[in-house]
Amino acid sequence: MGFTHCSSVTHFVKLLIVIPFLVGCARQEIISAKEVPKTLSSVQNTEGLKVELNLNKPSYKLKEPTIMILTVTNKSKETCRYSFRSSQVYDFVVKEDNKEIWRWSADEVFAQVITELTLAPGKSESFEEIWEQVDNEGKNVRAGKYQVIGILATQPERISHPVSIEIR
Amino acid sequence: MKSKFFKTTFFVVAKLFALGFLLQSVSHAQADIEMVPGEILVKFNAGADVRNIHAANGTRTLEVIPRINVHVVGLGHGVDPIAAVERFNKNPNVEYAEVNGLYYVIHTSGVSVPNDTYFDSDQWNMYSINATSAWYVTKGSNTVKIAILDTGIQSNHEDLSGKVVLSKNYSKSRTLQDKYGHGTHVAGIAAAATNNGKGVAGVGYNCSLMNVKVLNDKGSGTWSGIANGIIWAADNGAKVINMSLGGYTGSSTLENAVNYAWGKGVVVVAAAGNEETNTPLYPAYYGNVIAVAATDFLDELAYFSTFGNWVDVAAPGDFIPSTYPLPYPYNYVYLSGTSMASPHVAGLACLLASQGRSRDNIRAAIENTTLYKGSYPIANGLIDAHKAVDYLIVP
Repeated sequence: MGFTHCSSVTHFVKLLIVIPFLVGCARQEIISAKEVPKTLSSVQNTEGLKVELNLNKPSYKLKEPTIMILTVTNKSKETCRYSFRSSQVYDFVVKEDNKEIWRWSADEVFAQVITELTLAPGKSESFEEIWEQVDNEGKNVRAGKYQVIGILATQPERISHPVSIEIR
Repeated sequence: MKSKFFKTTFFVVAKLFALGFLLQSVSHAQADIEMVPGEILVKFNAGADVRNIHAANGTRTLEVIPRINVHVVGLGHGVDPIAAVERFNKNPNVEYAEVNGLYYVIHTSGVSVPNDTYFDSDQWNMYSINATSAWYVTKGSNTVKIAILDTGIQSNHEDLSGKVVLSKNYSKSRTLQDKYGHGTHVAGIAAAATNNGKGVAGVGYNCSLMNVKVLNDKGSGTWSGIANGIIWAADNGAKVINMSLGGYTGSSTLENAVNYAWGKGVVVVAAAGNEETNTPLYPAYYGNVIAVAATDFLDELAYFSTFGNWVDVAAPGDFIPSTYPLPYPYNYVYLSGTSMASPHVAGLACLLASQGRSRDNIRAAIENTTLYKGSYPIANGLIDAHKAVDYLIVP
């Protein structure tokens, strides 16, 4: 299942070059130091796609909601189409000592339809959810250090770098 | 992933096959009625001396049908029933005599092709499941309701007009309408207005719809919302529940809700998922849910479909045309997913329910009549709507 298709504008090329699309978007880019911004966000460049996670704060009080924003940006020069297995486009995961304790999608159900996200060159899309400081069983978590990641739910997934937070 | 180009090519081929099928099909109904040898049915006049008549004819009464007092009369060896009937009818003490007919199932074959705009040109999926032959047998009843648990239904869509008879919102969205563009498509496959001269045909033809909005305007929902939706649908007269949705973790609450509906005689159908693996998806994975995989226009398992022996049947799900909630000219689109396969089964379940069948008989009719069983890595095969509606009816 091809999950990413990128194309230049001419329809002729669109029709004939199917497999090269994958190659076009599979180009790896090295993360440059200047692109890693503030302490609260995380940036990763793979296949011409920038995956960025922003949290509203670096540290939280117990039970204080964490606002998570995942932003994906097409940094390539071609329009890219990203395919998803369902209406689920993204996900958020919270880890403690590298062990998953909460996943946004765990308590969600999705429409079982193949969907697509199309991003023109330079265009972004953002997705926001809130973590209420609970684990997958719905129990409140303890004070401590946690890592948050944002995921674009393609196959394979495009995963952001973790952002570390502290709950006090 | 297959390219769009090839898809288009195959689609045209599929259409040509469909047309050839139409030209070859000639409607006819055939009744086989034969006689029971050595028996006739006789109604004697009141006060007739039956024993004497038997003695004169060498016959005897085998049984008497109560209330109407008709004798099943045994003839001597080698006696022609028709000759015996003529002889008895000449007897002044006999009200009437007739042969004892053997009734066979009247085999119906033929097609009922609806006049919807895109039916012949686009709806290959209906030919894959032999829907036109099924509609020749039954077009379903508008008193039977399919609950669509989804992102809402655009109820004023030109091809769903008058179809949605009840609505309820368990999502966090403010509107019952479909702002995501999923529920309207699913609803159209199950039971778009059919033979109305526009749009598409739905498998459930005359069946009615219930709009139970459990997914929000981004296409997601929670276990609690869906459980509420299932219970509301079961309590409000749904005979079939379609869930073109799922999640990867199970939920006791959800399973309890499914079992509640099933216990009320409701047929529950759900999408098996688009994982390309045998990964369980809930609620499809539950025993009391008919789990549906997707096929493409070559009747092969769709490239994205979930499979496994826990998946009960398959139905068309790749590149399916149906109603869509955007304004004209985009109010009919193609979508792919087991989301599209599930409502084919729900629509068929509604046709079967319209025949007065029980929940278990509906499930048996769907699962025991499939096409290409053994060719797919699932429990049964591709649904055959025609064979299903001809399956032995048990109320």
